[in-house]
Amino acid sequence: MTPVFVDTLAAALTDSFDRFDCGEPELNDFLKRDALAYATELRMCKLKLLMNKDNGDVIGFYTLSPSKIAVQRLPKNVSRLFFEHHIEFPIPSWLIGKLAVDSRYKDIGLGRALLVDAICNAFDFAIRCGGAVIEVDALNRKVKKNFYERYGFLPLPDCKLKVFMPMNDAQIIFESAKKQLDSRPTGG
Amino acid sequence: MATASKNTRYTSTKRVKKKAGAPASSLLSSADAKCLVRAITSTPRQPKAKLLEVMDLYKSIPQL
Repeated sequence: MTPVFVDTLAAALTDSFDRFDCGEPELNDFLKRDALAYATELRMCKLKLLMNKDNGDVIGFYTLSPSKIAVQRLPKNVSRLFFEHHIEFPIPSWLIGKLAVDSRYKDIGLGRALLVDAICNAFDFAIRCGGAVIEVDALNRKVKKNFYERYGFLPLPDCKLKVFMPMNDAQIIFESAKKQLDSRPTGG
Repeated sequence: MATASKNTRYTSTKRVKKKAGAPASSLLSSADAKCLVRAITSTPRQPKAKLLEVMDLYKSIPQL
């Protein structure tokens, strides 16, 4: 297996979406039916794919789009920072709307690698355009608890399936990834 | 030298003024208590560390 991250436009060249099966019909259908249109014609989100270069399988994917969240919805220990600056209007955020890994490629860390890439991209966008937190719409409570909260996302008090990560936390992930990438040997 | 009142309860993140005769459970609203418990008990660096464990794998995946 040779995993490789692929951006949307290159993904448009592939016909391997039909083989994708993460075990959740909603996510399978989104990739097969709507994902490319969302990312290209409609400009609704960034679509990032993780593909197996050996056979063209889509290993996993995520979507990232700009969003906003009411400060009042954040836990008080976080919202207090905004209230101190008299910010009571919705703050900009980046939303990981969908993230899925094909069942054949589960349990080997590739879902986490996708999540790291999503966080790094969100932080990169936040540097350039603003963004105070990363939001995630988790598929269900099990995913919310066992995946997102396990890897540093925090629950929103008033929402059963949404979690968030302050951008300062995302910066730690981003800088670690950048350090790792910078330390790659450059070969010819 | 100022001394803490015996009616002042200290926690790691907040100081809560106890009302005379109030039971400990009524010092905070439910939402405040949840935030406080989370602030005290959560170990935010630990989950992120779990995510950082995957960096070797992440860096091994090329970006096209």
